[in-house]
Amino acid sequence: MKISGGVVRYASPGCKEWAEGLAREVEFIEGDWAALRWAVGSSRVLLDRRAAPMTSHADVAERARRFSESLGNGGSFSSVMFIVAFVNLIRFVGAASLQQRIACSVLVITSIYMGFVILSQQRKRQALSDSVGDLTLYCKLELEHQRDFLRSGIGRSLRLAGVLFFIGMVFTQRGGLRANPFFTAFGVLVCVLVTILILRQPRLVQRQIDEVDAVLKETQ
Amino acid sequence: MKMRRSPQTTRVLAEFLQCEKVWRYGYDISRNTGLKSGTLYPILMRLAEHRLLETSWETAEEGRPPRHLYKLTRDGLRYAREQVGATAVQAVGAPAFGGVTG
Repeated sequence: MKISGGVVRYASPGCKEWAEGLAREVEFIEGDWAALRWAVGSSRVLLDRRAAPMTSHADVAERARRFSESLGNGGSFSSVMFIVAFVNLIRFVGAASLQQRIACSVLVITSIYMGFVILSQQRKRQALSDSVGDLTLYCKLELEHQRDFLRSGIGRSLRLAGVLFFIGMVFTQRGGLRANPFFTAFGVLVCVLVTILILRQPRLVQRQIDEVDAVLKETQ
Repeated sequence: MKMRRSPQTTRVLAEFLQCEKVWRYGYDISRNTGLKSGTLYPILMRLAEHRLLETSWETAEEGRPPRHLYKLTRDGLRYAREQVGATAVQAVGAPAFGGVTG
């Protein structure tokens, strides 16, 4: 029950209902081991990160407003990436082993690359109309723009850079991977989860586009 | 968005076709198909995303929490018949002992 409770608590908003459904089944499973296997299996839902589904114009309008607000954040992310690059450049100079030097170079290159790409993609915040119909169309356009970007050459390279960045983080530890096995294991787990999330991004965006289309279809 | 086909998905669809109009519990589907929760629920979620599956909560009884219920939509039933039918045709077409040679 505790495992199922944890899954419900940490499930993403779009998966909460499914996590609840999984958790409720535990009470009706005969046998403690079968119930435990069910509960452990239900943690698979935690890997599926999705926003709350958009089922009405109000939901879509809210998402449109959040898009508009996030348009100005690219500069902050790029600044963080450039700072990370600078820090790892200093670490590169003081690196004790070849592994650390390679990892630091990977971090410098990927963070500079990600910083520049995000900066180049930054757009100006737009004044939004109050009309729900306009907000819905704006949301759809933004999602399509995101999807097309993620599928483009630059988008794919940005995702690859993201994965390499996290791999580089695991390998930069002083003393090598065996110096701190717990940190290494945790780092590998984070890398795997981040890779899965990054690879699934275009599909998640397409899913949101389908939700907006469904909302538009219902009101036509 | 295209729906990914897999033997596990076909098993779930075939299970729903056993009782087309009845709402089903997740654990019952898992037990009958032999699929674990971690395999079954992504399939159910994908079916729901494609509007092939509808979900509902059971009416709460005293002392028991309501359970999540699942049933194929009309489109889902049509899709299930196509997929299960196509799988049956493929199985019939495949030679039993690797085919005749010589």
